[in-house]
Amino acid sequence: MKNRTKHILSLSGYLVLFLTVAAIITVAIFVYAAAEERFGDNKGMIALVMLIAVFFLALVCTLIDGIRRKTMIDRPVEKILEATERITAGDFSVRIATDHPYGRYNEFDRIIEDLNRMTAELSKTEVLRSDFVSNVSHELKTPLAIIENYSTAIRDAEIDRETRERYADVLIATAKRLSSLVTNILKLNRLENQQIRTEQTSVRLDEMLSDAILQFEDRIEEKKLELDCDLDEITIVSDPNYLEIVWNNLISNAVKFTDAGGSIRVSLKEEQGAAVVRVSDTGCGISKETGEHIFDKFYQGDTSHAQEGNGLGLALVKKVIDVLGGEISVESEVGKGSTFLVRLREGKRREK
Amino acid sequence: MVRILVAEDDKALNRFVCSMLTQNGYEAVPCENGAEALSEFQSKQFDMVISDIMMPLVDGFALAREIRSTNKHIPILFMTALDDKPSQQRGFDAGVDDYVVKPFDADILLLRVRALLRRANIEQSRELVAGNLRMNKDEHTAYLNGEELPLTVREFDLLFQLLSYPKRTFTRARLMDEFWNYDSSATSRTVDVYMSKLREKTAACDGFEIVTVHGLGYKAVLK
Repeated sequence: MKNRTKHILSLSGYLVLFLTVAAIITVAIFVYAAAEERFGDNKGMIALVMLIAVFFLALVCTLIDGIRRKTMIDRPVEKILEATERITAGDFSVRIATDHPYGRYNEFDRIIEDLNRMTAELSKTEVLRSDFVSNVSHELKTPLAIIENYSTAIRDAEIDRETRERYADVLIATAKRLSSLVTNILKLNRLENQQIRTEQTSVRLDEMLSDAILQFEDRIEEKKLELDCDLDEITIVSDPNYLEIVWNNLISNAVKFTDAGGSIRVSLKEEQGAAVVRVSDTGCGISKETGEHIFDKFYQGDTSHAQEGNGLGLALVKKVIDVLGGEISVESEVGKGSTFLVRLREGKRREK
Repeated sequence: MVRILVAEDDKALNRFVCSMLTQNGYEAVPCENGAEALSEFQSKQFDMVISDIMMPLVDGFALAREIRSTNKHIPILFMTALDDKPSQQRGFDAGVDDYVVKPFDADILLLRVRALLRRANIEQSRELVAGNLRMNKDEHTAYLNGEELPLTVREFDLLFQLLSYPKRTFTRARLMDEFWNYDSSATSRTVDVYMSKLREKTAACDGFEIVTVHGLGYKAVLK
């Protein structure tokens, strides 16, 4: 942050004023001398000439000040106003150029820079939301169609018991997929209502992770999964609401894809000034090809529903981490399990 | 028979929950909105209330508050789609004991119902029994096979808490908040020390076991 306090006595301001006053006095003296030579002892005439001279000098000063004002204040204000109007109308692509590239850095430049940063943040969150929503509406309809078709088929008395059971399994799996999808939509929607830019607060990551894990305790217990946590006490500055989406998705996937009796490991460590979270499972694993695309369902719009749906969770996780300024990667081996690694900068609380 | 009031405006879900409860030996009374639930509650004796939040006429929050104003102890379980922290906070403020988030597993709902009833039972009798251990909340004393088991106040509170919520893990941070308040000298190591002492003292107990959830905290598992 630049130094905000302005000195009451500034050198440049003093110089300008000094030169102006000096010029006025010099001109006045010359005019007085000329008038005295011309009118001799006629004090009234001299006074009149002086009055006219002061009148013109004041006019010139006002003009100069007007021009200065026009270039230094009105122009940037107009630019900023125009930009804010566009932002209000929902156009977050606005970026304003600063006026004073060399040295002279004033409050307007600061406002402009802040505006630019704000619109950049806004457009990131906006892209996250709109991408997700447009992909999701498509993803919502497919499971609904499956539910409709399969339940219609199940009502048909002709089918044998085995088929009926298989259909019921499909229905359960589809409903679960739908539910995780809806959970993510709601979470994202809540963020939208909450605030326009990401909130920056101190977050105790280890406590947050413990709470996230314990939300799945019933299911971990039910599947008899072994749970191993190694969480160092780490505080970072970030947005807890966004982070919750990340942990929720990673842990729920680990629980979902690990067979009964398997194990889940969550660790939190500090590595090179960053907080690193690892979520490992001994689940079915991910093939190399899937691993490469696991985070970009947004762009790819994978339509093969045969694949076990994760309700776009990982794509959302990736996007959220991008917004927060972190990294995510995955290491996996088919049949052995996967490890998701999230790296978050620790960050500093923004000084007020 | 344990009688449970089920307030849920979605008829299909209401019917499902009620039939599941009936199958498991409870008596379920279905209500389709908060107002109906309230008049039903005032006309009969209930052991537990399961309620939705978003219902016509009287919502879950109002229902919980109303019930709490006359009955301090009856367990209230919310089943809701609202899983955000502020809503949960509002619920707990209104006197709700626990949550299941829709969509939920039938088994998990049943687990929660059992746990809540168990806790309500402890709350009412002020006494907790686990195998050969008996703990009396009012006297703050524990008996092992009828003989007094010497426990410090904090040890007693810790054990009572764990046994009131069997199978639920308490993180060290949570336990510290609750039982050490703002005692700044306490660290997560302090909790570990207390737990190992508690384990030593309760070694002869046959009804439960204090289990370390690696890296997270502790829970009591009933045998």
